[in-house]
Amino acid sequence: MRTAVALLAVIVGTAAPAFAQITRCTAVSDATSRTKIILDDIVSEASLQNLMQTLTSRLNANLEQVRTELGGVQLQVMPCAGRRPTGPSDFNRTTVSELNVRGVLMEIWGATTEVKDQQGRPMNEASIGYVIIPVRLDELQQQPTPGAFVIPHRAQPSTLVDDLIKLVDQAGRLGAYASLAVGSKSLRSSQWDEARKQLCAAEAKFTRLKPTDADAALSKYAKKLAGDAVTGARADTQYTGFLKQEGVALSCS
Amino acid sequence: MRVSMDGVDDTAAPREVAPHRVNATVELKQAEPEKGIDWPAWIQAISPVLLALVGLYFTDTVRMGFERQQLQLANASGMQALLVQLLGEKVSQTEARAAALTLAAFGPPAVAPLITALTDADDVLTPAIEGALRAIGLSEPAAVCGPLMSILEHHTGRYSWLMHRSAIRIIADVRCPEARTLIQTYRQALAAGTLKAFDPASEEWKPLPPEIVDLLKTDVDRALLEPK
Repeated sequence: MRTAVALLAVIVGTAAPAFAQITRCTAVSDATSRTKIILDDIVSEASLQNLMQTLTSRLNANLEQVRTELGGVQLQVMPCAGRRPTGPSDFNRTTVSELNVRGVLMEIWGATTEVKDQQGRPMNEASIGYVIIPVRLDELQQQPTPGAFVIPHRAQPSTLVDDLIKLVDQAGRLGAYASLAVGSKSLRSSQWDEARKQLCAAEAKFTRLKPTDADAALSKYAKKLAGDAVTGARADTQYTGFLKQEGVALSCS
Repeated sequence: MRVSMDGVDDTAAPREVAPHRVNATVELKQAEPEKGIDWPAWIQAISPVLLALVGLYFTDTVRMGFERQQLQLANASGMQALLVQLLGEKVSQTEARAAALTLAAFGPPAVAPLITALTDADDVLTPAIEGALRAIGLSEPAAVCGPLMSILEHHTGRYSWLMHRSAIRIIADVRCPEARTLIQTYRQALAAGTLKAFDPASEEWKPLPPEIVDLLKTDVDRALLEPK
């Protein structure tokens, strides 16, 4: 009887998930890095393979740039081949908590697809999904700022791939998200100076972007957390850094 | 004086050497046969039944032992495919959850392989395995509590702080009243900062980073809040 139940469950379990979802990735459990960004698969329709490859290499270059900019932070960018989140809803509290304890700061995934606009004209769409783990954790607990979202970029099929990639170019946005993630994580571990530095950097980077709704909310959130870093430092009896000085304002500017 | 055995004076007998005759009666007594315990008749009557029952008991014991071994073998065979699926390199969240919960259907025999799999589980496997152990623990708490408490008791470096975290979380969800003292001791160690983690790279024991201590504290506090 037990064997029959077991077999039935295996059949049900294996038959259902033919669609994309979160799969295992050794990079997530890599204990050598406590701060990492995970780059998942960029999923593409067969006709858009060219776009997918360009997008993947551009994202890799953007991430490398972010890693360099963050300098003092030992940030590693790790690929997760075959891992394909379907959307922000995949990142529920359990999953995000598990990623957080393994030092994942951000996970990025993407898709290129052919869609139709409101007039029914065919368009190429490149969507990039982001989950900023510390922000998503807060979002699932209390605050309304989105920690997981997808930003779509559309162009007509006649548009050159390079032009679409320029639209998608994420260097500035990725930099802002990475600073926010590092700052937020530092704040959680009472590293007030690092938190303040990164959160103020994030706020500044957001002001230079052409903001989406999510970016505007994230900018506000970074500003608030930067203030929290000062408040936390002042209340911390063991902290003796510059944030305790009277002249330090809550806001970054 | 010569005395005859039968009292006859034989002086008148010719003086030739005559063989002595002894008229004696020898009574040969046969040894009495040893009498056994005199069992009551009713015991004698039921003794075949008793013998049959004892025989049946031993036969049943041997048969049960044999069947237990067969069951263990069947369990191992049944679990093997599920473990292969669970530990597959590219297993998805849904597949991992299905395999782990099916393993939980085997009950206590699945605890050991599930805990072993938890040792180096990642973000996909950990929730699935924790869920399976919770499922077993709901009906068989003792089968789950013992091994998990053992993980928290012995700091050998074999188990990471992530494993400790999982153990504390499952103990909190399963009825493990005997674990309360152990978790209180763990909380004291966290507060005192005496807990260390083994770093396989440097082969050294290192203090847990503050953010990890905070994470563990959250789970420990939750475990102690649970009514036991």
